[in-house]
Amino acid sequence: MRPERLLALSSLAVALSGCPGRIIEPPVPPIVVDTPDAGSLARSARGNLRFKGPERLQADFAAALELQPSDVCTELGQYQCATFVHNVALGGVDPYGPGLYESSGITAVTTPLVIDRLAWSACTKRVDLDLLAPGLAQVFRGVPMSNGKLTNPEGQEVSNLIVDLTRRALTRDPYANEVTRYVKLAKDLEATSAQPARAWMQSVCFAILSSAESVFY
Amino acid sequence: MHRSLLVWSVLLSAAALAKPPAGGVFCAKYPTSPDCVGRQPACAYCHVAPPQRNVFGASLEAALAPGAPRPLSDADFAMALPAALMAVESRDADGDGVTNLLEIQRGTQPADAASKPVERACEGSENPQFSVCRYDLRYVYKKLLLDFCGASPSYAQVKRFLEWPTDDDRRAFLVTELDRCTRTDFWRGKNGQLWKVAHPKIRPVGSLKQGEDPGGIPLADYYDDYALFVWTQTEDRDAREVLTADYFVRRTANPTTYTKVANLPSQNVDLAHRAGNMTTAWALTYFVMFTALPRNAASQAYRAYLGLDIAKQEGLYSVPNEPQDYDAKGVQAPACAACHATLDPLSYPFRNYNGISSAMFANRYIPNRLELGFSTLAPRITQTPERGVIFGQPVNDLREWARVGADSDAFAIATTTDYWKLLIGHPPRPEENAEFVATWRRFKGEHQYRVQRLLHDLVKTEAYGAP
Repeated sequence: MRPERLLALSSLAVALSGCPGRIIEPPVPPIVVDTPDAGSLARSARGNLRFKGPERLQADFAAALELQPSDVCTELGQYQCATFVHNVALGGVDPYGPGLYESSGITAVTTPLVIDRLAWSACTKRVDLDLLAPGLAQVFRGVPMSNGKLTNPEGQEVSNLIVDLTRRALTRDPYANEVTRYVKLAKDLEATSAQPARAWMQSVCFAILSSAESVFY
Repeated sequence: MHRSLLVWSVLLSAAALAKPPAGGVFCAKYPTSPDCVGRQPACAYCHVAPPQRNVFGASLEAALAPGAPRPLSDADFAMALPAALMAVESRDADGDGVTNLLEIQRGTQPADAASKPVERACEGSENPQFSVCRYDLRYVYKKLLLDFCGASPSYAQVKRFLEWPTDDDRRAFLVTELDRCTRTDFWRGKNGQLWKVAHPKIRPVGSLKQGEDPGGIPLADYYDDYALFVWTQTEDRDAREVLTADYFVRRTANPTTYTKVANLPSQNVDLAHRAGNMTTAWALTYFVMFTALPRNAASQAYRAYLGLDIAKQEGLYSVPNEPQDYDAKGVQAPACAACHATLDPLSYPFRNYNGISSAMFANRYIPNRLELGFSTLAPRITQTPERGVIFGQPVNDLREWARVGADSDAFAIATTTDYWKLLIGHPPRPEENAEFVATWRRFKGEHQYRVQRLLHDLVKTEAYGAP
């Protein structure tokens, strides 16, 4: 393609998006794979799941939601959750002060709480940013809304968003039952939440990021 | 004839290597046991803490020269042990349903019911995500990026990886990815993965830190130790130089680089007496401190770099007529001598390395250090030789100590274990022993102690790549 044609197409895309400087990407192809039968899945002989720990969790959450790692979660707005405040609870080490030279190698009773804290912080931050400036939205975009509600919870745009989130966080396509479950969640939230679209985005993001598949490898 | 040859061979080697000779006799009887490949069973194999026996040791004791007066001499013990071991082979000391013999052959602990051979079987049908019964390249790709780069690949990256035409292409790509990731700060930068491997070896204390990130009582800069450690574990460098280097390494940040230098203002030991991270300002400050005979420095180096923890009765190679107790600490008491017969000769080569002192004498090699600074400590303190013994081999000084240690199987096993634990998540299990042994042997032989090559080897193991 000639450069001037590429420039013209880019300009057109920018104009159509109503968002100077940003080109809207085409919708995510709606790829949903069949739900495997959990009872017949091959069982791992080694069972050697490893917990991601503070740095990897922070990096993966940040990458999935297009945040800076330092923006994933802070306590009191200034202390890093993963690498400072909750570092040890996430299996990190603290060699220079208390002399914790090696990770305990096991997850602690508070570890799930901290994972929830990180995931919820990252998800709410991304949702807030995307809803505040829809034209600049990075993740939660392309879903029609009116009065804080999803226009059509069963629409293709909602499925596309579920596909995109699953790909971002789990590097795979969602199973059919996952899509069904998250669509149902959207409908359930319409009845209970004052801002159902926002609550749904936060909840789906949180469910995916805090899943065992997301935090172990 | 066969038995007497066995016992004599053990006793002859024991004279140079080991006393008491239980580990040697055991390994002469079971040379293919995983506990005997490049090592010997620790005392804990039969003891809770010597002389108290665990359940396996107790069953052995009953079969050991029954009726003979106690205590047995070393020679009588060595003569009687093979028959006693044979007598209990068919028993199950820990009641885990597996005979002692099978546990010995498979490398599990016959005194620990929680330790027994694991039989693996692949069950169920296909798993859409992973091939759980065999090495899975997609699984390895994601794991490799998490382990070495610190983040998962994106969906698009995984798709591109799977689009390579053949598995050979994918394997070649993994090689380049590993090399790319090991150049990142996540791997080699300050507080990166290699620093984490080094923490238990260097044992930093923030309040005593000198230089960058100083503490309240700045005594020495242990970032120099991390820099040397990372230098020796990266690129095409010999990992043994962590013990034998006579140079230092300077680190600069953004991006992190490490540069070999002849001297650093923060280091004091002269060129002729340097032995890698055993003689840095921090090591001497923290592990020698004010002591005349720095046993702590020796035991820490033995534990950190050779994987042998004397406090756990590991790596005991008792030296005849030791301990001499030159510093009059009472280590000849029977309860102490079992370990100090190994530890004290390990410590003698540190006698001239000074720890915390006035600036003129701190953290440096001082000939006749004991005569100059500690002569009144104990009547025989100045008789402490610089000549020592490691693995039963006499050494004239610490640099020879370092050479023998660095060239040992123990160093190769300890280094491989460090990275096995880092990448696989646990020390080698009995069912992984064959792969582990092959890996450390290649590290020592074919790979000539290059950690980068070891890492490439490790990610090819079933232990790493089969989900």
